[in-house]
Amino acid sequence: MYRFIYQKGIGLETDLISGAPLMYMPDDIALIEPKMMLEQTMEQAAVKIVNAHKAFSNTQVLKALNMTVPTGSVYALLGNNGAGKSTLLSMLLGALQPEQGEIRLLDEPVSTRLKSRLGCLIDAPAFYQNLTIKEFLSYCAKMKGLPKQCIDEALTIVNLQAKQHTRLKRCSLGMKQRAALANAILGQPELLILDEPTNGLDPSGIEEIRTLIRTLPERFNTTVLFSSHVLEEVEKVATHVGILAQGNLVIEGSLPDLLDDPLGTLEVSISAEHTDKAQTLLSRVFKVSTPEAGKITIHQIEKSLCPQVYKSLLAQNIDFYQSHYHTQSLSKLFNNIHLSINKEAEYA
Amino acid sequence: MLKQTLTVLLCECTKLKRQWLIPLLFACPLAVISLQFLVTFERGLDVFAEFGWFGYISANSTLWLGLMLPMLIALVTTIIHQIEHKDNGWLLMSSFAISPIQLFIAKFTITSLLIVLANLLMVCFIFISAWLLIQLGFPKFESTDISFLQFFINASITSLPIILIGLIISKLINNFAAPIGAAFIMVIFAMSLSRSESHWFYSPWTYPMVSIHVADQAATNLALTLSLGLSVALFIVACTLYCWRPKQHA
Repeated sequence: MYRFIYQKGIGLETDLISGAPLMYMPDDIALIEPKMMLEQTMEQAAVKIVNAHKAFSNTQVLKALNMTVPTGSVYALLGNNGAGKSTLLSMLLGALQPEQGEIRLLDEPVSTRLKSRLGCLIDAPAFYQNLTIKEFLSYCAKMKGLPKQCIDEALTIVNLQAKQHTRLKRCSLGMKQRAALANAILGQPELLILDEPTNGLDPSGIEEIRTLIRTLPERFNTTVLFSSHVLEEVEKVATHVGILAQGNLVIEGSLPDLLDDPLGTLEVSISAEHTDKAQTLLSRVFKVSTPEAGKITIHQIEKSLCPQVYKSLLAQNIDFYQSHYHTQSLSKLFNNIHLSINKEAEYA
Repeated sequence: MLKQTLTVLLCECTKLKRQWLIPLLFACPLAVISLQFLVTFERGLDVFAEFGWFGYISANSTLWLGLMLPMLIALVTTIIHQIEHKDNGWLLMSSFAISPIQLFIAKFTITSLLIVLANLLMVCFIFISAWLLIQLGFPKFESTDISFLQFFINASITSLPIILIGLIISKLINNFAAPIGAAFIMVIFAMSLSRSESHWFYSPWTYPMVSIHVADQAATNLALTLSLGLSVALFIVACTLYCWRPKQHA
């Protein structure tokens, strides 16, 4: 069993105890550490998973998974296809049972009673095609023991009021996704579990739903746990991120912490005839990659040094017409982690 | 708990909106009655006089309880579960704060009520067709010809094990063909078995037909007792099945 610990800004794996760079952590340490984590964060955790295992036939889908979703956060669960995201979310709803480990939602073990405090959108949205959107939501509200007024409120939030009498079988994928979201937010649940909530939505719909998710903790005092493949979306919406790979949560934390890297990348677009000259000049001081299409990329540079770069270029009469400075991105982080995992797999 | 189960029951009724179930409940008994009505009318008074109203009602009952009702039960149970099998209904169900047993009780109650309604409609249609035949010159109907109330109650009770078997099969198998195919095979098998005095009780599909045997009260009582006993056992099996979570892949 391997567990990666991502070190901010560098992308190395370190041993939890010695701090020495390592590719893996022994089993016994992984088993002790979650208990400590549980005591420390239980009060603030809307979701707490400790050492969860799940296998289907001979395939181990989740291996000693530990996860903490802080109360009031918008937590994004990332992972490639087959990483175990849907299994994990189904386990949170009690649709699947872990073979080992503990799952606590809102400080309670998963139970039928607890579900009245949750809202969810899992996998492909479930619908009864013969019902209209309003009938479907009315059915869901009755099942949740909620008053009728909350249906109109949910319809307004997802912008479906005008289409409420449309039968679900005649709805587009985007309308169905909105209806499923309306069901999830019915009665303002304390914890919202969403599996790829912007699937099938048009660009304006995506933006609306992103805004909705981002504002939910403040509006309804809700904690949101959602899975997504779209890293750009996660960066815009999430406050916390967990990356799932090979059945393990390889990295977890608040988004600003994970992306907090003092060194960034500066891309400068230079006129074609000056690229070689610029490269020679800048590579004396910085790590510069080979120019591509008139663009020079300077790696691991502090933001405060950017004006100096511009001054040097101007001093040498090198024309540049565009520059872009960016720090660690989520996609870079995601790729680095997968690269590490692949390397480790090769190693093994 | 009871209030919540009633809510689930009402919610299950909502799901049947715009489904084929209600038209089917009317169409099936109507098909049986129409066929027998036309045959009786075509044969005329001479043939009718041989067995009288008892013969007419027996022919209707045999066709209804031996063939149409078991097929209707298979269809109803399959539709009730296909609603969930389609479009992730089970996952939606698992997101509500209801126990799987409450859900099963709701589905079983609804199916049973629909079958009771179908039996009631059959009784009504027998009355209507008899009235029509009388208007067309057939002899007057006498209340001693058959006890309708007994027919209705016995047929409804002996349908219970078939309903439960239908619910179990359609829960396990996610398609229309298998439960209906299985029901058809069992109906054919039951038709042969019901003729045997010593073997009929091996198949629950024979119980409805035996339960309205006015001539053999012992067989009627045995069919009713077996139906109730088997229903209790099947109810426990079905509840266990509902609580069991099938393995799903990530």
